[in-house]
Amino acid sequence: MKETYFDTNVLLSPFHAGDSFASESLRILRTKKIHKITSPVTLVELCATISRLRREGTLVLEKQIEDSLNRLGPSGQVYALALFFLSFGSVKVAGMDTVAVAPFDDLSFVTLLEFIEACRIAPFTLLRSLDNMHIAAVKMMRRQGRIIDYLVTCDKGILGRREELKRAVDVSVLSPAELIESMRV
Amino acid sequence: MAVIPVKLNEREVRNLDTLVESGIFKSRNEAIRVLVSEGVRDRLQALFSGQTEGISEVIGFMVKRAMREKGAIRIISRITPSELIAEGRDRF
Repeated sequence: MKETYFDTNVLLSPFHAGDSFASESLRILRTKKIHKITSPVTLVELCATISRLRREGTLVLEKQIEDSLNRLGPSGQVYALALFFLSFGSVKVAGMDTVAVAPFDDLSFVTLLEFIEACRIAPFTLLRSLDNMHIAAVKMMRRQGRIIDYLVTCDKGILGRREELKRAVDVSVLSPAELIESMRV
Repeated sequence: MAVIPVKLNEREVRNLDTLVESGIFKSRNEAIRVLVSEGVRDRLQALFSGQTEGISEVIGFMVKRAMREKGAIRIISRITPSELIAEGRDRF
C-alpha cells in the first residue's frame, strides 16, 4: 500500500485563513484516496505549536469545544488538540521503536535509529534538526517495508531544496497543491 | 538482547521457583522476562493514562464540530502555522 508522509504544517494549514496552502491542505486532509502517515516528531511539534497558540490566545475554539476541553488537565488539552488535528485528516502516526547502539566506545549510547539516521543525512540535506528528523522518519519507515512516495509539506525552505533532497536522500517532496495534481485527488 | 544483572532476595527466588515448578513458566529466565515485560507495560500505560483519560470523547466531539462548522476551530496568529512551525524549527 502506497503512503504519503505528512509534515506537521499541512495538518494546521487549513485552520488559518491566511495560509497559502489552506484550501489544498483541506482538500488532501479530507480525501480518503490517500493513505496518510506521519511520525511521532509531528506529535511533538503539534503539542509545542498548540501550546504556544493557546498561550497567545490565537487558537480560537467555539465555546462548546472549549468547555469539553476544560474537563482535561493542561497536558490532556494539548494532547486532545494534537490528536484532533491528526484525526481530522485521518493521518496515522507510525510508531518508531527501532533502537540502535551508537558505537562510539566510551561515548556509546542507545537511541532510536531515526536519530542516528538524522545525524547521518545532516551533511547532505543541510536542513534544520527537526526537518532532518522528518526525512529520517521517511527513510526508516521505508526500510521497515512501507512504500512512501512523497513527503508533503508547506515549508518553503524544504520545498526550495527538493531537488537536492531527491538527489541526496532519495525523498520526493511536494507541496499540497502538487500532491493534488500528482495524485489527482 | 541485553543481559542485566538483578539481585533478588530468597523469598522472591522461592516465589519464582514456585511459578516455574507449577508449570506457568518454563524457567526462571522466562518468568523474569515475562513478568518484567508485563510490569513495565502496565507502568507505562498507567503513566500515560493519567494524561489521556476522557480524551477520546473530546477528540470525537471536536472532529464532529469541525466537520460540521468551518469556523469551530480557527488559528488567528499573526503568522501562518507553516511559519510558526518553521520558527520553532529554527530554535533547534
